[in-house]
Amino acid sequence: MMELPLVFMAGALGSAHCVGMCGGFALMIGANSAGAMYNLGRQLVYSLGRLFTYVFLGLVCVHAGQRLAAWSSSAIWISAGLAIVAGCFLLFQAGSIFLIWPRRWTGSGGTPCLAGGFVGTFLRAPGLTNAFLAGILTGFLPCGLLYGMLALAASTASLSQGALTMAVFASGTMPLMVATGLGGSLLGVSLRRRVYLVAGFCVLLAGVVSVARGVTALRHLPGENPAAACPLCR
Amino acid sequence: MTLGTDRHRPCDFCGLPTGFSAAATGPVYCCYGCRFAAGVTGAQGESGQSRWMLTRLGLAIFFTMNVMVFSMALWSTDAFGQGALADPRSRVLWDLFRYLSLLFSLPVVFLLGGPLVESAVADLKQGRPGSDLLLVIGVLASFGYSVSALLGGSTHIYFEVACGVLVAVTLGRWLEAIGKQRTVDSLKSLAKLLPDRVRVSTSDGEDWRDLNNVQPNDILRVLAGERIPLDGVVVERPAFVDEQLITGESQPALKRPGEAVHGGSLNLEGELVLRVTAAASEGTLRRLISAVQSAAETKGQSQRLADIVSTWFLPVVGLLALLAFYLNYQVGAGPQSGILAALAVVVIACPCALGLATPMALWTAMGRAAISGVMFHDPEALEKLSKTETILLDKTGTVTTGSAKLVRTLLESSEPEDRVRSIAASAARSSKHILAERLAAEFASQRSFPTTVIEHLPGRGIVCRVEGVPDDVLMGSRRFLESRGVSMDGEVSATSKAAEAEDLGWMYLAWGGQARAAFAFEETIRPQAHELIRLAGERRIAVRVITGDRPARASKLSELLGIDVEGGLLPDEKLARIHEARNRTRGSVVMVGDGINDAPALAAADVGIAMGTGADVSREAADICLLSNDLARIIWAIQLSQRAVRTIRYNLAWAFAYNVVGIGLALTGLLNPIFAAFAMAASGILVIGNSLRLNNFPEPDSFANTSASLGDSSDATGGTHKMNDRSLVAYWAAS
Repeated sequence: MMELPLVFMAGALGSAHCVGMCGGFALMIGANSAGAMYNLGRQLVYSLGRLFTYVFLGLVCVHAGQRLAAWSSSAIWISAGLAIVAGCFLLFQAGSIFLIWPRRWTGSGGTPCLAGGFVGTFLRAPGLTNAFLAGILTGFLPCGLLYGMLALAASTASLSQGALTMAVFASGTMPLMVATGLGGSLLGVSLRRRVYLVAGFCVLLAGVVSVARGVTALRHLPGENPAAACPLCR
Repeated sequence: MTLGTDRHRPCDFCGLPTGFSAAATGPVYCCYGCRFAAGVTGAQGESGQSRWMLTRLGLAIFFTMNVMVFSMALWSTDAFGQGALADPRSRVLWDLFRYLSLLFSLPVVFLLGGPLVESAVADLKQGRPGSDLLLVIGVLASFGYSVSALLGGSTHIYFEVACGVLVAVTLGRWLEAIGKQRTVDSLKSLAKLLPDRVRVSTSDGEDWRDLNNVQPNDILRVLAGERIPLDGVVVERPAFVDEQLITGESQPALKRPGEAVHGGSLNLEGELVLRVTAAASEGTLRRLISAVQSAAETKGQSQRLADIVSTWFLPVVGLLALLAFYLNYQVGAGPQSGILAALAVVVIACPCALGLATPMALWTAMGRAAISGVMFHDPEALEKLSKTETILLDKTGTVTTGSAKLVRTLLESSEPEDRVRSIAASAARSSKHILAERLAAEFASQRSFPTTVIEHLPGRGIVCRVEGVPDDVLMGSRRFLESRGVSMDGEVSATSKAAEAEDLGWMYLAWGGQARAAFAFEETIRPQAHELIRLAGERRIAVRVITGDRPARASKLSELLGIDVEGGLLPDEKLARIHEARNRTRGSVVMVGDGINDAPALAAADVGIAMGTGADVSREAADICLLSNDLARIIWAIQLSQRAVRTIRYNLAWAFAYNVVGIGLALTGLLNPIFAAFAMAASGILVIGNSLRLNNFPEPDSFANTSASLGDSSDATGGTHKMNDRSLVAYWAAS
């Protein structure tokens, strides 16, 4: 899995964007914490909660992929197809980071999400358990980057590999989120925008690698070991 | 209106009607979701008890995720597939995962099963066992089976099913409850507009007092830009007041000393000193809100149908679940597949979506209408209004402005002029007819005599006794007086007869068999009448005017408006016209009037609309009260009702199709109960979300136009009142 470093970088740099969206949550977690050490603990526990959910979602996606593969006769085809789909998804995300196509904003107008109060209660409540639960719940919030990573996890066709991908991605998002929760915004808006662009390149690369992996696997006859044939997957 | 026998206690959380009678004691909830949500928000704020309910759900979600991870690992082919169990290490891991599943699912069952059991028991105690009971049985069965299977070494364990169903059901119902509460919120937030504390003038200066402690006759001071907290009468200094919230009228009204102001209106300009006339609990705003609430508590036809369905629900679903168990057991997949299929049936057959489909949409639409000054008394009126094919309008006070102008006065020369005027003023003050009221206002400075009404004939006139006059005094139309044997040959009636060809409305005063005075009024057509006719024409709704006024004036009006106007109708003839119209069309016939003189006509139509009722929303004969005089808002209300009915149809179609397909799938055993639980939650939330969209129904057009002009004229006064009431609600909620 040569994507893993890229996945980590995508998470680490992509969280420059996350800070815009989820940074508010980190700040809320921090707001109720007396003392920097206690706050650090809460921030870590909160991020662990997110990690837990990301890994869980990754496992669900892998499992769904496996079901799909078991359903059709040629497992390699499914796995390769998933890799290509995941790659395309990541490429699409990269495109929206570079603003090649506009990001679709849902959630403008209309009634606010009914679940908002549910998550908010945990974010505001003191104690480590509540911070952890808040992390678990915010992990379910929609995020394009997350979906790309989930597709990537599903394409690994292995529970452990999928879990690893998501865990690496989640750890990538941790430094900036924890830093935000601790010290408010360390990075200014313009700097965050630039860091986010770099993250776009990581996502782009991860997408290219994933598509290439899928295509290579497809070009080889079933029966051959696709991983052995793929120059990138060794 | 169907009140009394059909009243039910509203849910203590969301405010929607429950199946419990008004006599039920203790807190009452319409569903498990509301019970749970009430537990969450009940102990106000963030205190321990309330957060514990949520923490329960959060922890249950965490444990369930773990159980599902173990289950997925157990199912996974790359971990334990294809004979991997032959490997002893793998075997140990496999057993570990199985026991961990049990370990992690135990807290879920205790955390979430507890409240569900409580809810099922509460239903049982009220003698109406519901779907919660079936759910409890189903979840316990699948959990119990899995425990025995685990101990017996079988591979078939379904801990994730019990956990997933509990989490999805709780989460789904909780979200539903929040959504339901939101439909009621928009109205309740109107009450929150009132300030908590008010300035009360006392003998030694001024005092801030709690709103609820203000008594009638207290003197309040309200500064410019503040909301008037209570109903009252202006004591000092005139002021411009925005009454949009109460009357829907967007033009500011000038209130002079002695005039009444409604609590909830906004003081635009000048410092207002007022004497309170009603305590907070009896004020206009409170009555408006409770009018809509009591309307929603009245069960419509479709709601009664839903009630009948739900009494059959439990036995039918119970039988279906047994059938599912039997079928899947027989097919040979073992008791576990029977249990799972039965659980799936119980979960998917939850009637939530079906039960919510109609009331949610009606309630939201009625709340939306109320915000724009259209008050429904009855949910059925909304359903009928959507089928409007004919609109019949009363003329006086409806098509024409209520404020007729007195343009000519003819007095019998044989009587002292002042005495005739005083007798006219006395009689006019006893009548509710629009012309009489106008006359009373014109003669406000006139001395009047004690008067008792003997007879009041709506639309024709009154007979009364006025102190100092030996005979009965009659006031009314020429026709009415003639029918009572009054001679119309005198000086007054001869002159007026010559003038009756003009487009004026005449009212006569007579006693002693002789007409003594005649008053001529000029009416003006409401500008919105033209818009109503234009908009109705676009929608192929027939509009006609039926009036008791003279045919000559009717044809004049017909010319001006370009529609049919039938004049010279007595009240019972008006009724006959309405019945004819109802027989002619398949759709609904809407009668629009002022709600006082034409009460029988309003009651006879499919939908009776009373115009310009202001805060007087209790006009019983009308199904709908238009707080403002904006006739075009009738079309707006029709559009809203059509949207609401369409929403109801979509909701019902969806809920029905979902139940049929879902139950079918569940019977075959193809539907995993977890998916069933999520589908159930999604279905209910879809229905609520679909209904809540009615809240976004646009404001009436004419509304927007007039508020724009209001904004222009009032920029100098700070501009807060430029926002319409909806944005005000948002503004106040945010601050």
